[in-house]
Amino acid sequence: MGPLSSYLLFPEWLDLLIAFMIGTGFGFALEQAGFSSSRKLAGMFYGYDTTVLKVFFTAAIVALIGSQFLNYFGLLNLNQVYVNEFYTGAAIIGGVIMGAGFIMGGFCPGTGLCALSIGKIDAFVFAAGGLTGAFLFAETYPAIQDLANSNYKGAVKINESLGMSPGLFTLLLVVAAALMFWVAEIAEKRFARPEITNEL
Amino acid sequence: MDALKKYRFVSGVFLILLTAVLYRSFTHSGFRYDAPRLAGQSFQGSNIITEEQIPGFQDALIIDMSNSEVLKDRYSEITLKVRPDSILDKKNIRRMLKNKGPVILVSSENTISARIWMLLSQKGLKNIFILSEEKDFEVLKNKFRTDTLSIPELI
Amino acid sequence: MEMRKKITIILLLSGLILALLPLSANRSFLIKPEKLLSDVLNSDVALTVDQVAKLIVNEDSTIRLIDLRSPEEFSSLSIPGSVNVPYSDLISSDLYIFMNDRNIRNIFYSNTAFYSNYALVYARGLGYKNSFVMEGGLSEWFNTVMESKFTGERISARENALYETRTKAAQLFTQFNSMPDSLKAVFMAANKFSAKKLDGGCE
Repeated sequence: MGPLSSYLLFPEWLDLLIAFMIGTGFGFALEQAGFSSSRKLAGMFYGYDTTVLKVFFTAAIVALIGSQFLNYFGLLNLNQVYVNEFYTGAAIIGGVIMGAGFIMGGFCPGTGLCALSIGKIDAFVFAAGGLTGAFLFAETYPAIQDLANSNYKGAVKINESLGMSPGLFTLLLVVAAALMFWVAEIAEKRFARPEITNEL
Repeated sequence: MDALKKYRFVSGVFLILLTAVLYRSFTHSGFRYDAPRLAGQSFQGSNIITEEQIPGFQDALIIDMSNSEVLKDRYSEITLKVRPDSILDKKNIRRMLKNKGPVILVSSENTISARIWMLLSQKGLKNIFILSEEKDFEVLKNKFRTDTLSIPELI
Repeated sequence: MEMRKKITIILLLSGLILALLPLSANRSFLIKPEKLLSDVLNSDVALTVDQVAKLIVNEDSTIRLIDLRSPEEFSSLSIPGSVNVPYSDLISSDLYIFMNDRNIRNIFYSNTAFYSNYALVYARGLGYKNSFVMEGGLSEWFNTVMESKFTGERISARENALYETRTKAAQLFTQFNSMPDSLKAVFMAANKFSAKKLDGGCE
């Protein structure tokens, strides 16, 4: 509970307990949305099932709107919320690798763990592959260090780099999300595969 | 009417949110947004005045937080005696907000005035000044004599 | 379909409210006014020059002296071990970078009482309880510590201790500020605080 706990000085066990409960909630939400099915996840690439886009984007904009309001009402200090550091080169290459892995494996790291928890064998192999990749990264780090740390832009927020207020950016993102969902529904009808039903 | 009924959930949530936001904007009795902006007048002593300048102000209000009665005697109509720990009392704040001219903070030490100034400015009150006996702002009057005879030690 | 439409409309309207709000990404005070007032009127927030002198003589590492004056004033004269953060820089930056360590007491000082006390209220208002002020600033330091004189044999033990501390601190001050700028720069480089970054993320 980063921003809250540094302010209220939670004991460490409480921090960890809250983290555990949040993780449980996350796993529960993913599983009940059906994300343990690799068909659903690969469907995002082939176009016949855009559930992933809708679920994750809705979660993102609800969190965005919620945190902006909490910030306004003084319950959350957004300046103390962690913002990822942006390395352009590394982000692009990492994104390509992750995207390829996503389609080939049919899982992304979070949903892979979800599927693992319900005992899917391909999820076990996927997780082993992921850990191998992390190990290889660590072992070869001296060689790829320069690439990994290239084009450092700092912890930028999109609204800062575009020069608009966070509220305006939120509105634009919500509108963009609504449009994307509408296009996604059209795509679903166009790329539908009769042999793969919408229920898993 | 039918359309309204259909959207009653949406409009309900929207109205609750709008009310909360409006309530917060208007009854914000705490501090205002953008602390750096509110601290703007503290630079370079733009909020410091000396006693000679008081008669030149229109509708000035003197907030006297000191223990002396000197200012109260000299400017009795426009002086309000307030203890520093009661500066945030509603009647004092209201008096400061109602005042058309500048509000001048006075106390026995610049320390207290400076702290109260920053606090009041962050609450959004404008046109607040500090009465100082010194004309120069943040100037060190003492001289330092370098000692080139002693051996410098890296501590 | 109905639920989805409702949620979409609610999200769009919330976005609209947010877009119209005067939200700035800047900081504002977190503490309630009444609490901040009682905090800053408490005598615990101020350290006398004697207390600071003692901390310097003992090389106390739990404090950090922050000099709020301009770089020119700082390089010509400063309390040994202090760091220079000009007042204007302090107000415009995110204090989290260097004031986040709760175990370090940050003591502000300037030439007189203004900048240091502004900074005290500003930092405490933003939630940094580890903010203090050196009462009277450098003027008081000069008047009390640097000008401290031996007043004779018949003084109490406490006064004697005070005199000793003041003399030692004055010596350190003189030696440090009499150094050529190059040596001072080496000394100060060793004292620079390291920028603290926000922790978090999948690292």
